[in-house]
Amino acid sequence: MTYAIVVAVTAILMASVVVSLNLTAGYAGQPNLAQSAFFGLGAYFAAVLSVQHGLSFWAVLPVSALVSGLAGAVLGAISLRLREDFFAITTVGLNFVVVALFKSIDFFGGATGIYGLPLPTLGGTSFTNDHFLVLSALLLGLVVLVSKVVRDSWYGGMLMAIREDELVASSLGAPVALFKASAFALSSLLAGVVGAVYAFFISSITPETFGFNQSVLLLSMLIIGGMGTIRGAIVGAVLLTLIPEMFRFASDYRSLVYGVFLVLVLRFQPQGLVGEDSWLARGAARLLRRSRSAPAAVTEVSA
Amino acid sequence: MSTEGKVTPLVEVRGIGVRFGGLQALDDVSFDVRPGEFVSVIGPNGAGKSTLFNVISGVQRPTSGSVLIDGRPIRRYRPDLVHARGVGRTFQVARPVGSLTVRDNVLLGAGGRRLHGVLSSLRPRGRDKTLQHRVDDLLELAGLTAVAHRPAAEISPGDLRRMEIARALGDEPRLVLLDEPAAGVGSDGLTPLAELLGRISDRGVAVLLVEHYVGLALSLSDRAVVLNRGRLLALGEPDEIRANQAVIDAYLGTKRSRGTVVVPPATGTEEER
Repeated sequence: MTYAIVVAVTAILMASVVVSLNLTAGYAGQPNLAQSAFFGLGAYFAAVLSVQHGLSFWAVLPVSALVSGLAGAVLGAISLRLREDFFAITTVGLNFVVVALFKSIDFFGGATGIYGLPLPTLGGTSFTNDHFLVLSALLLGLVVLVSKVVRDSWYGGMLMAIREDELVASSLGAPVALFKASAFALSSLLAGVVGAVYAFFISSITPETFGFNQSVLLLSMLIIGGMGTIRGAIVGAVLLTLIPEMFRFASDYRSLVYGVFLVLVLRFQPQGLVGEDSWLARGAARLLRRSRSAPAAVTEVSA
Repeated sequence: MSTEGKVTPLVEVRGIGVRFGGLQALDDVSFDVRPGEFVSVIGPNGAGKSTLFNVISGVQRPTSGSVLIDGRPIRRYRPDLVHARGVGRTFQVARPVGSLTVRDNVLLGAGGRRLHGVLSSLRPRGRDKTLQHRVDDLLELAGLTAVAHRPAAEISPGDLRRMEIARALGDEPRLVLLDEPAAGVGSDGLTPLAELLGRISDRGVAVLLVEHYVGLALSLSDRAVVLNRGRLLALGEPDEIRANQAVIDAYLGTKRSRGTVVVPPATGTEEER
């Protein structure tokens, strides 16, 4: 039972990070391979401030949010200067730099990481795994809510326009630089908060947890689930968290399993398993239409 | 007739020059567009028409000269800032936001004023009643009501061109720059397009039109600007342009039928910027 809850919390937290990643990679179309670094910055600041400076869980949350958000704004500013492919490479480099900083700076505890984060307390009681389950579910709810507000707003519409054609977006009045940078800031801010919760949940963190491999995994989750959709981000994250748990006996071949899965999805379902116009999404839409007598007016293609 | 009108020009182009390395794309071009006026920009491929549009819409900073909107010069050449001053545009090669519906494309065009600042732009774009009506009106104006809910990537070239025009009109601009709206629409797309251009003009929106279908352009225009190799060759009313010997020599040719200059539309695409 405990094991199931631990897997569930992990899956929900991963889903939260991938939904936040969808803001930049999905809506704004920026190939972001550094999300794990922002997640890590949130986790690390939470760990350092609580273990070494005795701050409470609730006090470190806003700090983690702020630090990751600022770092994201910097990356957003970089993205304005680079074409997509060069930007992707830059994010890879950035992720390595952040991990190197975690390893080499004493403040971050060096290569061994930081151990013994205290359990968060609420009203005098220490958190159990059940508490973490509720908290992570609330967090996922928050990230989903923010994403929905963005998706349905003028801002989100313009991010999608930026994804396809920056010149069109700016000709329609969008301040492209401001919108891109703020999307990165928002996405990393959310990832930072999730990182802080994650650090407290697993109670010890090491630099490699937030490495480039993890960023690739996060982006794979989004691609497999369905880039540009909230449900895709959630489905992808949950699937790729559960599959390795179910195939633990094959843990040596974990990367191979991911790779094969990713290739299969991209070959046969490039929109992602539940992405826009995927088999499942179309099937669900058909069922929904059949269940209602009057066809609903569809105003948007991109959900 | 030149620029002696008493009305303050909406847009004034003053001695614009643009140099790309060794190529002088535009050289000392000056003219103006008055409120509600329909002005065509014609000239052969490579004359600098698209470059001119890119300068006026804030995409391209000129090497010399300036562009004034309502008498005030553009200082920072950024498309969103020019847009905010009431200038919309379309592109030579249609550029839809393909994953959005036709309606959402036009809606995005209508939201320009909601974009000043991240926070105000976070309001839901589907709930603004005034804008919804405006979008419906524009879709009808452009004859797009039937395809409103189709993804923009899937509609016909003619519909796509009119969608871009409707999108450019979304934020109530006072001037729209239309870059070859007839390119690729086919012969049966020309009539609805010409009707739309006429209706825009009737609504009091000034139009600056680049078009290879010179007959179409001149028939709609109050005045025309003729460019050749980056320089202003002629400026005047359609009849003056048709009769201008320099224009005929450089561009129009001498064939005439029923009073209309017959020029085969160019099929090649000009440089985009």
